[in-house]
Amino acid sequence: MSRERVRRILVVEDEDPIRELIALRVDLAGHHAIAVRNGLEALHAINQRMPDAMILDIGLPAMDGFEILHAIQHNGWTIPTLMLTARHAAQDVKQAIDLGARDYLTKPFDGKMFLQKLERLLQPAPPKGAVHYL
Amino acid sequence: MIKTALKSVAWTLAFAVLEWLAIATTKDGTHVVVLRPVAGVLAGICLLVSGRRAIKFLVAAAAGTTLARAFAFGINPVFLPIGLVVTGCSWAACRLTQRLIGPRITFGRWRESLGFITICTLVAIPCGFIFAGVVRFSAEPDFLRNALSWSLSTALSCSIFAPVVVISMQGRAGAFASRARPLMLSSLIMAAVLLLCFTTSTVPFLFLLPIAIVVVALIAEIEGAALALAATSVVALAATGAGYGPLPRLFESRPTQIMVMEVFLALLTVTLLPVAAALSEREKLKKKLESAVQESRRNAALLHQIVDAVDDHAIIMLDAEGRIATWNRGAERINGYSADEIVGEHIRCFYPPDARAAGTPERLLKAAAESDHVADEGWRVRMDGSRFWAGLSLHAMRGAGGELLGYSKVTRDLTARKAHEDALAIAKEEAQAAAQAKADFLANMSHEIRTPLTSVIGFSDLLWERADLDEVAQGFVSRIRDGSRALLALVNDILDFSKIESGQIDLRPAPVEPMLLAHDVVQLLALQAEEKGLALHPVCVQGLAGRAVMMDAARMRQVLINYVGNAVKFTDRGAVELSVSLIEQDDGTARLRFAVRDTGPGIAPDQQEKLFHRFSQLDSSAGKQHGGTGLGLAICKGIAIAMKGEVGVVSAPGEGATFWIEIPTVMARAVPTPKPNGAQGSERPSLLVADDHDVNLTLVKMALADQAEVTVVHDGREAVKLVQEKSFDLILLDIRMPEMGGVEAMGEIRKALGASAPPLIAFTAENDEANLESLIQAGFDATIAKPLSVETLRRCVRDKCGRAGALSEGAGRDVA
Repeated sequence: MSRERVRRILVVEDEDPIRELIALRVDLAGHHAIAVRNGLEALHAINQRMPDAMILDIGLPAMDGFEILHAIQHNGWTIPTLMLTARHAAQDVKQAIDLGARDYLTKPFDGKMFLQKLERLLQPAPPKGAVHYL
Repeated sequence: MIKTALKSVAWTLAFAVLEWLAIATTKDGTHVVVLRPVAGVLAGICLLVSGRRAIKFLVAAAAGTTLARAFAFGINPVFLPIGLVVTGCSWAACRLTQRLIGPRITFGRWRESLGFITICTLVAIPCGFIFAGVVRFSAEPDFLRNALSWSLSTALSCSIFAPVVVISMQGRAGAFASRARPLMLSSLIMAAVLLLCFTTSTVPFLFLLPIAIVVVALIAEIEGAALALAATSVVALAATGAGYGPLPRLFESRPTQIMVMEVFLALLTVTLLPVAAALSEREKLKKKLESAVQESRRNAALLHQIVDAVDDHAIIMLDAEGRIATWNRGAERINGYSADEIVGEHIRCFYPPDARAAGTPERLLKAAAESDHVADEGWRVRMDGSRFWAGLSLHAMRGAGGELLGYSKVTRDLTARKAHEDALAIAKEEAQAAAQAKADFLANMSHEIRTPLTSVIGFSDLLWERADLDEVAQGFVSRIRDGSRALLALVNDILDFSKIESGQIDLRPAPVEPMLLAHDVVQLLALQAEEKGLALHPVCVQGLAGRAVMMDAARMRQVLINYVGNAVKFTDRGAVELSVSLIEQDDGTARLRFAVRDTGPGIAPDQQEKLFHRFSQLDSSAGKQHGGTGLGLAICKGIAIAMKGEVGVVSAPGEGATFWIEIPTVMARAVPTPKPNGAQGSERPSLLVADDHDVNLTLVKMALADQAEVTVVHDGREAVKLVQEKSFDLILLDIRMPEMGGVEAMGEIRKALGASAPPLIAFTAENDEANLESLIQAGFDATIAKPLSVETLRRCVRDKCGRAGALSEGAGRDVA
């Protein structure tokens, strides 16, 4: 695997400080963050160049996280997605997983935890003989 | 014995006297005596007493007859057979009557009287011929005449005397005493008539006798009539025998006179007794009826009084069409109408127009007629047009044949209650709406607070990670981080608490092994306890390991984390113990109990009550020292209540505390553990686990008990030794172990077993990417991050021992 290649992470979050925070975390981890504030911008960014992963907020103006996931599914794209929720709500999580999200994280989040989840997101399938059970 | 003998002698003498009187009365001089009172009296006795007791009388009668004849005519051997024939005749007639007509003859009916006479006559005829045959050999040669006259006289005597005896004996002797006046009057009438009949020989006044006896029956009932008949018979026969009365003028021969008189008396008896019986029965019935009518009038009046006096219930009767028949004071008070105004009206008039139009009253009546009773509530209209809320009960009344006679209706005015209920419902709705508004507000606020808090936590973390901060700045950042995390905990608690308060706590029961839950909680807080130097143990009460119950694991976990967290927080030395027990009940349900015991300062009894109230921490200094929102225990209590359970604490100052939660639960059939697929399906894989922490070993055993055979060792060296003796399907090694670490042990195992080595898995607490990667590089097949979670362990064993690739199942779960 080429760990040298810079991964492109799409960050969809409407709250400026949080978007900035996530983008910063992503960049500090050595990846490249593409930060957008709503669904339309997100779909536009995906259309331009497919990201390696996506950090997606649920509560967004106009088009919420579920609708974005739906649109992605509808277009036949596959983007490993980490959902951000303001509060662990079992129903939301289930819906997001059903719509193709891989994992979720509750806001506010722990920096270390975020990085662990992000790294897991970037591994398409655990290579044979090297499984990390976290 | 002597008494019985004396009685028998007395009876014998009585019969003898009777027979002698009869002989003396007829004064014929022949042996053919046409009057036979003994036969009649005996027949009466035989009708009254049962078979065996009658023998005594039969013997007495036979002896008495023989004695009297010997006395009257001199000793003759034929007298004994004559006596036997007389008694036998009476006895046979009585038994035959009882057989054919009925066991108890009262002479109150024609059928009985006529039947008795007929039977007596039929029995008397053969007896008469026997008698005639007997006397033929002595003095009386006229066989046919003797036979007939004997038969006739016997039959007649029986008909006259037997009914009189039966009625007199049956008659209530006491009744006469209390009716002295009618008895006296009857006696006077009878004496006068008899005197008139038998002192005059020119005019046959005998026709007066039946009239007199009927009059007596009217005055003194059947018993009086029977006595009158007895008196008449004795007087008439005696008078005729003595030559008085009208008969001696009409017939020459004395026996003929007697015989004719007997016929007359027999006719009197059999006709008048039933008449007297009927009359006296009628009198009795009349009296009974009168008293019954009076009684029922009294009852009705009483009932009416009671019903009318009820003034808080309208109690009314309706006819079969639903028109009002009766009206009470309660009805007047509730409905406003007086009885005069409303009786005869249909109950429709109480209903509001819309109900009348919808046919509600008719439907109600029909329902009551069909099911006998209906109860209903609804608006009704008073006379003045105002409405009231009525609660009513309607019963159908039926006649003996089941036909509908009408209805009884009891109505109460429930307007006040209805208003109260409505007010209550509105108040409840309002309260619920208010609680909902509060919960919504808190949920929104907590959501809104989260967003800025995310920034605070996130950026202070970033700042903290920077290497170029000086010590003072680091201290400040540290304060910000701690403060923001405390704020987050508070927001979480408030949201939980508002959910609990508004009853919105949403439970998701699923089969859970309580023991594993306890282990998870202990694992989670093990580090905290270790830092304070406390021992932290889970304890399972026998029999619970491997068993699952239905409960919401996440919520129970929250409670247990709270309890154990508090225990660790407030205990400075000693141990904290989390125990699980199951109290099974007979009906298949069970109560699950978790208890957390610590060796902390303990809690005074007066403080214990306050503990589970919101925002209570025992003292503010403790709050400052230990932090926390004060909502934790209130949340625990709320969760317990939502689970229909209870919480509590047992403690004394200086003796530590035990916080417990107990919930009712149903035993689940089994934990739905996905079985390993493929060839090993039926055979359980064998596992070797090496770890120096007992807690971890117990958890692994628990988690995998139904999935694999687990062997545990405490050190790498032991593991290396064991794999050379026994083969395993999977080996789990802790990285840090005292004698030989996981990496070294893995190397030894690979060296010893070569290619046949099973998959080797490392446990490690240092779960950063670089470390995990280096472990894989070193030769492990997989890594498991600490703290161990049951789900992770199971998933790992499933992947390695079963078919690979079930990993995606765990996606999205909180596995850390």
